[in-house]
Amino acid sequence: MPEVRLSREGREDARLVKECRAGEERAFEALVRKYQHQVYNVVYRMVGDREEALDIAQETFIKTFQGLDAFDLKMPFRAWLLRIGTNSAIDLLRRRGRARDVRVDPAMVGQPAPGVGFGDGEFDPPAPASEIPENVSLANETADAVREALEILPGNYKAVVVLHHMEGLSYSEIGKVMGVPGNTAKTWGRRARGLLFDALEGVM
Amino acid sequence: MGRVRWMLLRRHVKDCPDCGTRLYRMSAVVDALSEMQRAQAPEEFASLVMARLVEALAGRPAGTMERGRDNRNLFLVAGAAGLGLAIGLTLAVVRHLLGRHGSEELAMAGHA
Repeated sequence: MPEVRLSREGREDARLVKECRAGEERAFEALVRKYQHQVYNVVYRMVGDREEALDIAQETFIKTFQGLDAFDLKMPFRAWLLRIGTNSAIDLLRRRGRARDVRVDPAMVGQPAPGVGFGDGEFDPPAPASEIPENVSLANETADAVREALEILPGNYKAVVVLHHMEGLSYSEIGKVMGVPGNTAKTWGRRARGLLFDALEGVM
Repeated sequence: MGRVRWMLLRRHVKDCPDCGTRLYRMSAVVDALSEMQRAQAPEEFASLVMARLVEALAGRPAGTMERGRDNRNLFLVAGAAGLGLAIGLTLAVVRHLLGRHGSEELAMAGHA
């Protein structure tokens, strides 16, 4: 992972990590409280089961603590934490035999997946809120249908969708979380939306 | 997608019902994803993690927190030992000086 300039949040996290290393239990508890909802939400949306998500989210923090000595303080803590969480969720999906990770052919990076996109462009609206007013309000059934459709995605695609559309991470940040270039994360996101689009045909 | 391309796309879909339907559905998928409610960790989550942490660390070689705690204990022990040594040395010097002073007084008393 290349070195990055830390944000104010990142510097605050690094300070807490240093305190953890010095034996301050409260510093680690502060990190847990700060990121508990984000880690839990990401894992829950990936595995789709509250009990399993709770277990994985807790395990994520335990693994994080155990790896604190090896953590590079110049790197963003949140990305590292989410990487541990998403990897654990993907491992569970693999164990379930449901994950079908799709490796991206480097030659395909930047190209739209078959049947997805409009012409040579890609569908990635500038803001999460649609610019088309009539599309803004969605019924609960639609959300349920999308939630179900998410289940069909391979683990890494699902992680990108959750991190980008629900947690608001940029593709560059997602790349750091997933350990891949930002463009690869973007490609995974585009393909994931294509798969969701196909899965929801006839429903939406 | 940049704003210009987005505007061109919108202009195109006005005259192309197929693309319009496709765009509407794709927008609905993206909006539904963005609007999905965030799952919240239970209230006791942090306490559970800290309890599991203590459990996980029990019986293992000293990790980050134990090492930090051990280091602090080591400093305390070393500090206490240093303080004890300093007090001991001071007392010895005082006793030595008092002893010499006492002998001189005894010698003077003898002469008298």
